[in-house]
Amino acid sequence: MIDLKTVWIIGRKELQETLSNKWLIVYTLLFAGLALALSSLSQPDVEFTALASYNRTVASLVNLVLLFVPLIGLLFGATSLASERETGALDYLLAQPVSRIEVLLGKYIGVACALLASLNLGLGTAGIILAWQGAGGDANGYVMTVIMACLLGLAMLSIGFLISALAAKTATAIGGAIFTWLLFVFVGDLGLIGASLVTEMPIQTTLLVALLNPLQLFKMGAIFSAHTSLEVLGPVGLYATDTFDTNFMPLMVASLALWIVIPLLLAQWYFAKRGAA
Amino acid sequence: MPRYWVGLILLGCWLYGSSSAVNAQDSRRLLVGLDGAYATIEDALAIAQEGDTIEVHGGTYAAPLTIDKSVTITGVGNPIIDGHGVGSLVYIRAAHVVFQGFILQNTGTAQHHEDSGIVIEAPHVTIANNQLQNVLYGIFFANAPYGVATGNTIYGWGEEAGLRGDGIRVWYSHRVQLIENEINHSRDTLIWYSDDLVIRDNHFEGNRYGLHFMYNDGAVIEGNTLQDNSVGAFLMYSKNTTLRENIFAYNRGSSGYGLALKDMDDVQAADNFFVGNREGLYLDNSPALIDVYNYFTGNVFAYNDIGVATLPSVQRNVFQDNSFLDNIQQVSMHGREVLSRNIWSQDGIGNYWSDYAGYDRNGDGYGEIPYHSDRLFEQLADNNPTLRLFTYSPAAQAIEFAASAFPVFRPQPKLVDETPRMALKLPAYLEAKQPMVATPLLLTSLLMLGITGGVVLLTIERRRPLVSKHYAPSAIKEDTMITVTQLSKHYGIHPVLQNISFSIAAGESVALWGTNGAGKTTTLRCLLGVQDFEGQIRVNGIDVQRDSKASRAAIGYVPQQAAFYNMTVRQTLKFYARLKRVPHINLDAALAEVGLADHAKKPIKALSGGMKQRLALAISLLANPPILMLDEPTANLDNQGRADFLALVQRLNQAGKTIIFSSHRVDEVMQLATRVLVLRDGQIELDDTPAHFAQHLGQQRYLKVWIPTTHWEQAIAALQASGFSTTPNGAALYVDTLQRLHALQVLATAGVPVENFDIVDHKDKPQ
Repeated sequence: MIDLKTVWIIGRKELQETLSNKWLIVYTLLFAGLALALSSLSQPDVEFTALASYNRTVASLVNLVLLFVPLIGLLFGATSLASERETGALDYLLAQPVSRIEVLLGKYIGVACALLASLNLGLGTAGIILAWQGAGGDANGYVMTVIMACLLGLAMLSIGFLISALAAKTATAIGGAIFTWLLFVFVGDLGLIGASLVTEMPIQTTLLVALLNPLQLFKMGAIFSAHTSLEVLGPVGLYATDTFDTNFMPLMVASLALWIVIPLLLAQWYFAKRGAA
Repeated sequence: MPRYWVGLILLGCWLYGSSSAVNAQDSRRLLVGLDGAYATIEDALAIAQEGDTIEVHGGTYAAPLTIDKSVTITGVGNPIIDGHGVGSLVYIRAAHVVFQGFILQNTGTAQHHEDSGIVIEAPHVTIANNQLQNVLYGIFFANAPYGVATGNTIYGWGEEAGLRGDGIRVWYSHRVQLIENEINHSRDTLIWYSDDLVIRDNHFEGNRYGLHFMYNDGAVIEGNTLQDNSVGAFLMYSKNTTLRENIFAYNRGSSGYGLALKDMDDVQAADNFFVGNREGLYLDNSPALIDVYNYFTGNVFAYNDIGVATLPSVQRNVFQDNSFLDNIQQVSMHGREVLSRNIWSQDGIGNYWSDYAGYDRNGDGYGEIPYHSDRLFEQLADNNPTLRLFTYSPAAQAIEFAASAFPVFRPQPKLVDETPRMALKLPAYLEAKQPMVATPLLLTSLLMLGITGGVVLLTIERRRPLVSKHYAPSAIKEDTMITVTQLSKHYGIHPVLQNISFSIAAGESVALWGTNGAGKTTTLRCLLGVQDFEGQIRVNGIDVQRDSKASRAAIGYVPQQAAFYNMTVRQTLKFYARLKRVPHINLDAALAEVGLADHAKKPIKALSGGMKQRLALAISLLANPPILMLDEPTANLDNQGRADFLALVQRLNQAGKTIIFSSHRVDEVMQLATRVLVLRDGQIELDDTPAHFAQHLGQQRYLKVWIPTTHWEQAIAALQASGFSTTPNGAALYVDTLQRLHALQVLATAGVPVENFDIVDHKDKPQ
């Protein structure tokens, strides 16, 4: 049985450590700074432009999230178990009256809280600037975009934990995280672009393959939240919204949730089997 | 003759009188409704003469109404003409009719009858200030030239845009003027075969096509707003069209053009504002005629998905002094060609491009470097629109980056603007945006920052006593604290422990003795339940495999080399106290007990190895567990540290703690243990008292000692001084004696650091 108190004790310790991690501080400042800069870019101060410029700013923020959040989520996840395994701290922790799932969940929750706090700081600051400029978009759409970004961060963290559970050394885990980041952010999409160009892949297939990438799930969900349609993504976007209609957002959220849960379950299974060894 | 003249005069007077009577009747005002003379409009029309005004007061009147006299019919107090869902409402079949001030509602819904609010079938008719609602078609000019529709509001019937009727339809009606009308929620405003139109200051919103336009030459379209339609305006097969100061905003249907031109010649488009459309301007074979040019001047294309999109054959369009602001794609070509057959700069005046990265050295307002539209991903997406899925993706940016870094990947520019303008120029007629804070978004964003603050607050230590109901000091449940039955452990195919069994009674202090790899640490890890194994282990009555967490609550564990988190000593102790659910604890006293009271605020990384071991001991004692488990605890301690540590553990044993520890130090075993388990090759070779253990050691032939080479001379001298024969070989010294314990004591007394030792038989002795 999972003792939530124990989970929180470990989570809180992890949260304290992560918040004081200099890389997280640098990332937070960089992300918040860029988000602030994007939202502060001067827009023409005339009628009809508020919504369009707001949508463009949100799209830029989406782009920023696509680059930064997976990287930091994967890296923090990947180093969470591997580095402590290397120093022996994990071994010592597991020798205490705690179960492995409590350790894994505690560490996940702690790092997740820190990452989401960092993300909220960046996007919240950008939101204030947008609101101050009289943003044309509605608050619900922005909140949904932030929620999708949080889900993406959690999904990447789960995958990072899986890498961490599998890796023997910190360096291996970091390498795995960077490779996975490249795979999701660049290689996967570039491969799909290439395949689409060479094979003239049907729209349905392109959409299906794209949706296997959690970054595309986030992007489509976030843009849909801001624009209430996906026509900006061309025929595939239109096909997606026409096909899934009102189920589109639930589908995106549920798919991202699967990307959170399945890697974490795999990480737990492997961690329970392997422990601190 | 006089009679003749009198007759003429009388005739003249009669004619004059008749004429005056007619003029008096032109200005007649016939009242319908209220206390007027006529109950229905038809009654008034029946006696009305050309030029009369029929004033219709509030109330609901039946449809259809047919106006076949040149009269003015004015609604006062919003009279309603209601068709109750049948047919058209008003037919105007006389010239010079003015029809104004009515609410017209509920036409029929028969597309094949074109059921309309108002059908005009005569020239020079003016339709003004009416509200048409729930109508299939709104105002229908059918062969009705010189008509005017002004100030009308039309709201169409039906949900599906393609099944609605047209808000306004102009059919073979030249010189019609549509001015200041509002057309919402209809299919199109359809204008065919009608020349010299004026379409001014109208507002088209929520329609399929704001304007749908064919074979209409000489039209002037100005000051209109076409917003949130599927397509703003689609103009086709016409020439000599002027488009001025129109706003095409957020037209984002499946086509989503702000303005589309197909086979349009001699178009002058100036100072229009295209914002937020899928494609701001779409050109298809326009101009169509050879040697005809279309001119686009002073227009602004802002925040569209595509600013200007064209089909490959398009040429002879002149773009001058326009502004392209942050369109996802500034200009796009549907197909494989370039836009160089259009003109992007004329007379030294180009266009503003928000993605232009040049400079203006001479300060003339135009860049010195031409603007090239040569984005690789854009061109790939132009040829394969499926790729627009990757818009905003880092992969798309990577492609652009590769193209800009490596010219070999750079495509042929779609267009070149030789003199790009440096500054954005917005149409003067656009009103300034009202500065208004978006309160819901502001509050939401503040909430997000609040969440961040809340998360940070969670990490702040609260000063409250540690209290817990769980894992209170584990009570001693049985006399036998540890029972190990048939314990086996393999790493792969390599056996580490093979069916070992033993038990430890409460209060015992048991040493696990053996060389490196004998299985000491593995045994301890199995006892802790952090490693899977075969067999059974019970700790304080708890089956380790069933509930390792509960069994660990009975054990205080000190590893060979404790590793902690990046905290202070006190924080570390507090963290583990929480984890062990220690009910009440004085952290300072706990630290004082292991001699760390003065180091409470130090970070862990500032502690020596010995201090860390002492901290680990303090942690192991936190919940006052009945068992202490020590894995070579003094391996990293200096002599004094070791002595202090062993004395502390000895006191704990004397106080009743059960102790199990691994070591390969004889002095430790002799000082601490009440019983020794000797492990060799994963099996228990000896389970006996320390005294017998010493004898057991003596039965071996040679003592093999690993000592740092820097201490070899010192070791050999000390051993030889005590009568031992030594033989160095490889990395170790061989001591030929049956009194190996004594030899080790000699080395310890001489201060020689022994890294490791082993007992080997004569076969191992070097030759």
